[in-house]
Amino acid sequence: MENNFLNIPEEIALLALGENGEVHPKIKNPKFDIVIASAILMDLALHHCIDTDRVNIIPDKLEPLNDPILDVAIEEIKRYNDPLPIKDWIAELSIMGQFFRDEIIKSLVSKGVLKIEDKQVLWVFSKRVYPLVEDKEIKVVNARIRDLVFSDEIPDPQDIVILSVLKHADLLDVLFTDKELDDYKERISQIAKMDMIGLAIGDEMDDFKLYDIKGFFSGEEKSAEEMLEDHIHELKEKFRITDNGRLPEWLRRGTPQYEKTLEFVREKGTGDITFNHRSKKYQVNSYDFIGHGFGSGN
Amino acid sequence: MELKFKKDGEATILELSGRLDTSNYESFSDELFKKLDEGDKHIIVDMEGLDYISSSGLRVFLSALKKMKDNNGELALCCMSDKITEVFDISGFSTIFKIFVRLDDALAD
Repeated sequence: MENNFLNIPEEIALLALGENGEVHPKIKNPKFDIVIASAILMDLALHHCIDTDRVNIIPDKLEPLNDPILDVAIEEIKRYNDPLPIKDWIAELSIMGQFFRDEIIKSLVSKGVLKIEDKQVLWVFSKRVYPLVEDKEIKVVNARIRDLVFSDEIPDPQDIVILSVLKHADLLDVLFTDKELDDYKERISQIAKMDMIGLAIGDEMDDFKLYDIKGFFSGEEKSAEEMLEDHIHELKEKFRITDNGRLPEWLRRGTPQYEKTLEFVREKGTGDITFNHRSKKYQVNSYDFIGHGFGSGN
Repeated sequence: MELKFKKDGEATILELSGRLDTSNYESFSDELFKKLDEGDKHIIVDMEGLDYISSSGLRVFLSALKKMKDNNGELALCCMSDKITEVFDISGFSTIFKIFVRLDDALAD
């Protein structure tokens, strides 16, 4: 069933949100940024903005979709407009992870699915039901994916990518019991590998070097420039970026935006920061799902 | 990409060659779905000359298979090169399609 109401990153976020707004522990981890980045790329592929093969992402129709999350990614891909390895794009968008975490929640709030109360993300409805769209209640994504796995139906592309993301992010326990995961292991694997980006996430997750950020920044007192360079070095290592030209402008030495980044690092005393591409504001990374994006922008 | 149609008894054979990618998946999809809409119930795609397929191309096959099942028809694939077979294997598509080594085998099925 096609669902244009929610994009795939939003569907993934909702799946990882408990009935009472509790967040799955795996989300509070920088590794989840890879999940979000991959979900965005998969959604762009379904909209024919990009195409993929086993290795590369190939730009296709890079026109805005009027989606606050996907359009930012489209703008990024437009900067290059050449086929590039899938893993490079996962890395590039993962660097913007905190921004996307915040935007996903903002978007779900604006669509009337979630609300924020006392800095807590809550469902608007007492149970997991999305609003009516064109007199039709959208089937909640978890029921849809479960039905698919328990049947021998040919999957829709959208459901393939959601299942693929959940599998590679090790989040299948949000949808299935241990027994179900065991009983339907083959069916889940069969569906999850039907997307090339999904296959690439698996490799990324395995290779991802998760730094202990506190440990990385501890030790002798460092200047703002050193702290920022440490952070850039960490990101480059983590995402295996070898060319400084592939860094976003706010992390690229010599640009006016880099100087502003440096000012923020100086003010906050930490290099573990991110930049919100929409509000044009910086924030300290929190790795919470809603981050610092609500009411405390800097 | 080049696409040719021919009939063999009840079966419609699509000879697909070249590259199926961003630049032509839409026209391939249009042609294939036209056959499905015309009520063809037994379609065989002969892929002997196909040397590249992207995700967009794979998705056309997936949608066509879904529609074919709804129509109680059959969509079979045959004569894949090693390279295309590898893509179908890696992506798991080979588990949901009927794939034959030779066209004669597909026709006899």
